[in-house]
Amino acid sequence: MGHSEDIINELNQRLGTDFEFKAGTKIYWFYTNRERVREIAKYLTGEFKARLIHVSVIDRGLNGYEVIYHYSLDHLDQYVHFNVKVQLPPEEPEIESISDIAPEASWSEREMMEFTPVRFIDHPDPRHLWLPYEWPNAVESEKCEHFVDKNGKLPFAADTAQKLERSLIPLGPYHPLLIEGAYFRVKLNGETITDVDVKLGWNHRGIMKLFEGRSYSRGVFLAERVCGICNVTHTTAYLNAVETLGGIEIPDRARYIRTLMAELERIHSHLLWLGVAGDLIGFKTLFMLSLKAREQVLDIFESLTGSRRAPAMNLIGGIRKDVKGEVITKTNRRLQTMKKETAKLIEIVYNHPLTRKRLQDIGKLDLFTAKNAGAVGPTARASGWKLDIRQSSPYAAYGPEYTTWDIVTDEGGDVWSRTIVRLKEILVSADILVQCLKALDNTTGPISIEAADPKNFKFNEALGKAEAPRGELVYYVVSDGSNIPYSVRIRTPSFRNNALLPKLLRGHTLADAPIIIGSIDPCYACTDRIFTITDSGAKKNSNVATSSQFTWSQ
Amino acid sequence: MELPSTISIASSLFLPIVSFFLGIIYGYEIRKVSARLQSRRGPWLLVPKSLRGTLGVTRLFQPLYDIIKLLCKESLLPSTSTKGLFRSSPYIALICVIVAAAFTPVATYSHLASFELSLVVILYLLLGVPFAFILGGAASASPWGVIGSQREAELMLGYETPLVIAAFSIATMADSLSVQKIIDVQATRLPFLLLNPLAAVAFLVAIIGKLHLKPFDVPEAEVEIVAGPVTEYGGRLLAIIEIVKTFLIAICVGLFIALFLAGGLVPGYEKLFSIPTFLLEGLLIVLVMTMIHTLNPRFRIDQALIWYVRVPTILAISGLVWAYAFRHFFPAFI
Amino acid sequence: MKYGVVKLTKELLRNAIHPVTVNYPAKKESLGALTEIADESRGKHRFDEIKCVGCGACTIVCSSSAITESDSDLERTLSVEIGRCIFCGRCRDICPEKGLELTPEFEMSKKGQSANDCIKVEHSVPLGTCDKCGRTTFPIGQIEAVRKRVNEKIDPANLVIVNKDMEIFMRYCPDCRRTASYAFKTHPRKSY
Repeated sequence: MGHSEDIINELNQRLGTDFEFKAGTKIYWFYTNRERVREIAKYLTGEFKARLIHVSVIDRGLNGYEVIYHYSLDHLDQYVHFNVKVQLPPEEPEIESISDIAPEASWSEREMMEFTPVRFIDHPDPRHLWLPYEWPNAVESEKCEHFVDKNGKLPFAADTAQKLERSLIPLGPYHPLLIEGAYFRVKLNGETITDVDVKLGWNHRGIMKLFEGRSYSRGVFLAERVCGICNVTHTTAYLNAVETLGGIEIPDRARYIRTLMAELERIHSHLLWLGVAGDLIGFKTLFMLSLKAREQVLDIFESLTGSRRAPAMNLIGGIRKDVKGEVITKTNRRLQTMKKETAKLIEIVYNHPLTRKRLQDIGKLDLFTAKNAGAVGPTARASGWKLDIRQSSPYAAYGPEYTTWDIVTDEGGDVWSRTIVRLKEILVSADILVQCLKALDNTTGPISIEAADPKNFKFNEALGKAEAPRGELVYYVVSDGSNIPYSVRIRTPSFRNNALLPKLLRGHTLADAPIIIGSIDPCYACTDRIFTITDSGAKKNSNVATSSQFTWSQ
Repeated sequence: MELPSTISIASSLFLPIVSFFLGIIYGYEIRKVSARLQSRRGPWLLVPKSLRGTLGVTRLFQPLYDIIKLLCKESLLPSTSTKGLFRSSPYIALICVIVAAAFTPVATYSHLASFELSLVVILYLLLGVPFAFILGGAASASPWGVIGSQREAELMLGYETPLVIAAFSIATMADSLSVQKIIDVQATRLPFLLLNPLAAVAFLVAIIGKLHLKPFDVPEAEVEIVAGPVTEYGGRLLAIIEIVKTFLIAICVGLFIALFLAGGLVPGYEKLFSIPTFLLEGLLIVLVMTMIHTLNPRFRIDQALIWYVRVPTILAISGLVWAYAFRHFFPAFI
Repeated sequence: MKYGVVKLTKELLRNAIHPVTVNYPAKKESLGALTEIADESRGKHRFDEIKCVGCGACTIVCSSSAITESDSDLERTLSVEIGRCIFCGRCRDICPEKGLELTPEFEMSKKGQSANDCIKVEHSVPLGTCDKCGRTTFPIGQIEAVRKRVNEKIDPANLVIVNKDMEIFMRYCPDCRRTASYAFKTHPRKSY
């Protein structure tokens, strides 16, 4: 334990009672009542500089609700997490909100208020996050009056054109700048943006509910389909949680292959991002060239696993298909071609006079705001924060005993820094890949071990984390002894980064809005995973609503 | 100028049709060249044998087929727009541009180009196109149209100045405002591309802005304002706008060749030889513009305006000064 | 700064000579690595006529319940609904006889009015009948596969007696086995 022992002793002294420690998960559980939540939050985020990664609410039926605050202490020691669990009675599910102390909790609490009957009192912005603002029942909030009229409805865009001075522009839900659906209502003054309202939920598919009806091994394939770009990372994070539940340690060869898949996915995602960023500043040629470089990576996927996207290699206990022999030589060759093309692309982006003009000095995110609002991934690393889950809670073959590599950061904090961080990460990923392929070529061993029977799971809840191309991905899996999980909670990196957008967009012109939105790499498929669609009686049933209930009537 | 006879009227009506087909070919060239540079294919120049039954021998007139497809669709009118202005602005632009095409010589053949003020008439009528864009965009009741027409107005300030100054510097060197006279002066001396390259470069860059090619396609920036002033247009009205754009590229390129490249005339050869030369020079100029179009991202509107003031306007003014100095010091050339 | 534009121009001119797009369907000899479809590609299913015995293991393990089995009087049909399949390959992995493979064929669309009109890959195996009551029992091939596997794996000392047992038991359905077990007189632990 070492360092973590000192941390726990200190927390023990300060907070008073004993903690439960589940060895193997390295998660400390602290059970308290709802009155102490704010004091604990103030202490942990203030002096300890812990990161609040999510707020989950689990519905325990007749026993009430459990509110769990997940704090991450892995900047102090690897893998250490500290969870604060509060039990709420079923007839009075209210608890005070901590959004004014920790702004990272704001969106998580909004999401949980929509899914469960738990109310977070004094939340600064209790509007719906996924459902329409006015359905099934409009929520009172002072933010609403800027964007809805007195009936709680969003005004139609047509009468904004007459007010040229301070107009309300709808960027979305269908707009050429977005790959998926999102709604940014932008308040303009001439061409300068004064305020932005972010509304998501156009991609919801009910995934967290679907997990509860499928066994663990089927859940892997469902996790793969949360996002089209980061498939492998979702399965890795889910399996990190499930394998912790079962106490399984996967063999070395499986670790290397999981890393291989994850890094290939990171390269493909960053190349796709480069193309999309080029398209957002009007550089269609860069779009075509980077997608051409990305084709090499997809061909590598196809020859290794059989499918360009959703490779489905991970399964509980290891890997399904081995990587050895001639396919390693072919992969190495394709990797060299991809590296050459990427080097050309990086040179073009660095040296073209107009890309710098469009990308520099906009969308600035300073280090204090990044730490305060909880940015993750390359968005945070571009502001100078060395935050990478692959080194703070190593999984697969990222630890120092398997591969060596560096975290890429940059000091600027603007869109240009984020571009540079992502481009350099492609080269770092290629380096990790070469190391993994060499290790695979030189070693032998099994590629999977037997999965444990769910009745013999050692723990009944676990946290699994992975570093997606966009940031930190967290899966919280709760089991009840059967072969079907009781509850699964997902917190994706885009969920955290999208909350930063109002801060990033204020003061810039409309021409800069697309590239700023694109620079945090939003993946709305990851972000929207709504839980239940209630019927018009606003009861918590899983009836599917008809389309007439979902239209904006105007 | 004598009264036009029937033959000259007929030839003046024939010329816009030729300009239209030239514009179609230039539009095809932009698509094909930019596709090939991006390692795509673009529309087929020679369709493979297995598909010739459905697609024909060549897809050279692909922009024309797109216009015909648009003509067959219905055009939706936004309910809160100013319908009269919305429906009529494309037609205003079309009339302006057809008349301007009648004045622009194609391979030095144009009856109306010998009118004394034909250069002024062409430049004046070409103003009708951004005018129609601005009116149509403001009349459509969508925020994209409003922002797009604002940007078009700002960009117009940028590119009209070097365009007009460069054109007038050529007029100064030829001592006439008639396009036919400018061509005749160049036929006996050197083409003005060699005698006044500053004005040529300024004119070319101004044309790139006029035709909404990158890096100046700010009013039609897809990712920011959907389609700018033409967002709400569809069907027949959009077809008229596409026809206007086709004419515009043919007129601009034709004007460039007439002012700077002697209209296609090759000294020592007869006038009939200027037709293939005109076509070749037109394709070359469009090639240069397409390369610039493919190599660059899009400017922001304020960056575009600042750049226009810095580089092309200064070049055009220096071209004008050079033209006056040329006339003063080398009168033998004119 | 203009160096970037020069470099980009060279790159683009190189692209103009070698475009990436090829005619459909992709041919291997056109451009090398960028047009190959790997042999491991997961596409349309193919049931091996002889090896697939109709045991139905694939229907249990399918991630999206795309493979279903249905019995008629004479045969059992396994049917893969391509519209529901997610091409994960678990059916291929679990098949004990290696009778199901995913070929690289990817053109699987069909005109239809509803989602049930999708392509179905089907395979039928004949069902055996019970000698006593006449009901259908198990696919004949499955019985043979079980017999073969038991012969491979049991202790050789018990080979003869187990084969004699199997000879009798495999002719009856489970109900008849239960009701008439006393009359069989072959079970080694039965005392008579």
